[in-house]
Amino acid sequence: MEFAHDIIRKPIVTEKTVALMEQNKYTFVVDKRATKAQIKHAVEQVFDVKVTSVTTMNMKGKLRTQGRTQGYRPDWKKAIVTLKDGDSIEILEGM
Amino acid sequence: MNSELVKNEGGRATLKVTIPAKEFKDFYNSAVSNLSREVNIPGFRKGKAPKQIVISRLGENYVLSEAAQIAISKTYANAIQSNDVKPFSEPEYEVEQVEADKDFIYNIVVDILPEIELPEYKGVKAVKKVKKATDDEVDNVLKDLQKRHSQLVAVEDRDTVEEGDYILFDFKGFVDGEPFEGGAAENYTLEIGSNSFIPGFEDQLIGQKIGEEGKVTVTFPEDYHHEALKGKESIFEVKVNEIKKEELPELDDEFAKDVSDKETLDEYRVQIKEDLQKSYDHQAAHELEDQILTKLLEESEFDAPPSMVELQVEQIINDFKSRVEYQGISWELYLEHSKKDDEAIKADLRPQAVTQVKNYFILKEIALKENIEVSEDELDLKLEEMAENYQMAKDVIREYYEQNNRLDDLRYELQTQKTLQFLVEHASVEEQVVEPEDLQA
Repeated sequence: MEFAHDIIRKPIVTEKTVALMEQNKYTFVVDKRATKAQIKHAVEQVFDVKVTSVTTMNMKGKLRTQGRTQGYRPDWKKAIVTLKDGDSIEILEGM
Repeated sequence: MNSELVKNEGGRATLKVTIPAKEFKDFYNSAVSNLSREVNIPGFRKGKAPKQIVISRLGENYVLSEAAQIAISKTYANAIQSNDVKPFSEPEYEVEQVEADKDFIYNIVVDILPEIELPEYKGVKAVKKVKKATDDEVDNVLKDLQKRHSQLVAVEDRDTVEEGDYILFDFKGFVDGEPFEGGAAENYTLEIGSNSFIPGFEDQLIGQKIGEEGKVTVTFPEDYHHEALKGKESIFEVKVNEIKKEELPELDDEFAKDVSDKETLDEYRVQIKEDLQKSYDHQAAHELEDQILTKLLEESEFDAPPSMVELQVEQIINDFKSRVEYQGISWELYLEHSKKDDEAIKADLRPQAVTQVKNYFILKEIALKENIEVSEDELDLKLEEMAENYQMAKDVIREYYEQNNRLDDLRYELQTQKTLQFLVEHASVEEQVVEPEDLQA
């Protein structure tokens, strides 16, 4: 978890997050152990932008059934990063 | 949108259509929104994904080709209309340039309805060859019939073979002292003078006596079909078993009764003459129609639509194929024998097809100009006639034609006939009597 790319796993591109981009907020899946400060640093480094705030939330893995056995998907952390006015990130699906 | 006619030859036109980048943009956008409504993109409901995401997911080229399709479907009718082209076939499209933010250029290739300028079709000069059936021809027909009804009768007053005899004989052939395949038979029937055997064979049998063994020496010709025997000398041991002669039936009333439903030979002769005359008249009428059509074709200038010619070629080939196969020869075998492939045969048939297609257009145009139409009554009459020929109920035939959508074909056929009749009636026909001798040729 020392490199920025290890912290930011991938962007989340859905109707909801695309709507948030209007407010200059970008959503990512990040490493479960990452702190807000680390996320801020990583985003600034990778996308060359200025981050003004980071909110994070821990997401529970979903229950999945395979045949007769049940189990959970891994838990993960979601981060919504607000950028400084005027900055933007070109996010396309599958980045 | 900008379109121009870039080529127009051989019944085929090419239109070049240019859509400026600005207009194409609209088509591009509508393509994207169409696609986004159809494609599933995770994270979005159908039709809700942003444009950029749709494009990056499907790929630029895919979207462009969709946009091209939309653009073509929205503009081709306009392009064809503004260039005053009358399309005849389904148009084909060739995309020349399609890129985002650039002009979209494509070609429309389409067969066009030929502009037919009819030559003067009334008073076409033609020669009708009139043939009269003669008594000599009737005699010939009778002679053929006699021969067909002849019988072989054993000859009793002599025992040596003469020219014209039918003999039953055994033979065994040797090449280099060895018998060969197909070189032997017993009680084989051979007509002396029929030239069905190798040259010289039949001549050497003349004078041969019944029951006596003899020898025939012949050389196989160089063009003999059997490879191994070409040019080889061979000796045949022969033995004549029986001599027969062809006996023709007497030409009398009895004979007439046997081969026809007439009572006397004289009546039969009259019938033969009538039949001959009928077939000559028919032939002459057909020839006359052909002459007129050929003249009209020569004098009119237009191109037959290639797609229709191809269709006609297909049809001729199919007819031809079924005729070949009807004779028990497979199409592949025929191709092998004639040393041609499908393409070569098609090329051979193309001029014929072009003529037929052109005739179709000429006749159609004339029918249109002269208001030659087929009434329901006439159609009905034709169906009745067919019903009689096929020994079927008229309604059954009508139903068959209706079910197969062939009633229009029939109507067209009748119209063609009427048009041809019209042409013949209005042509200046010169009658020319053909001497009977010419007929034999």
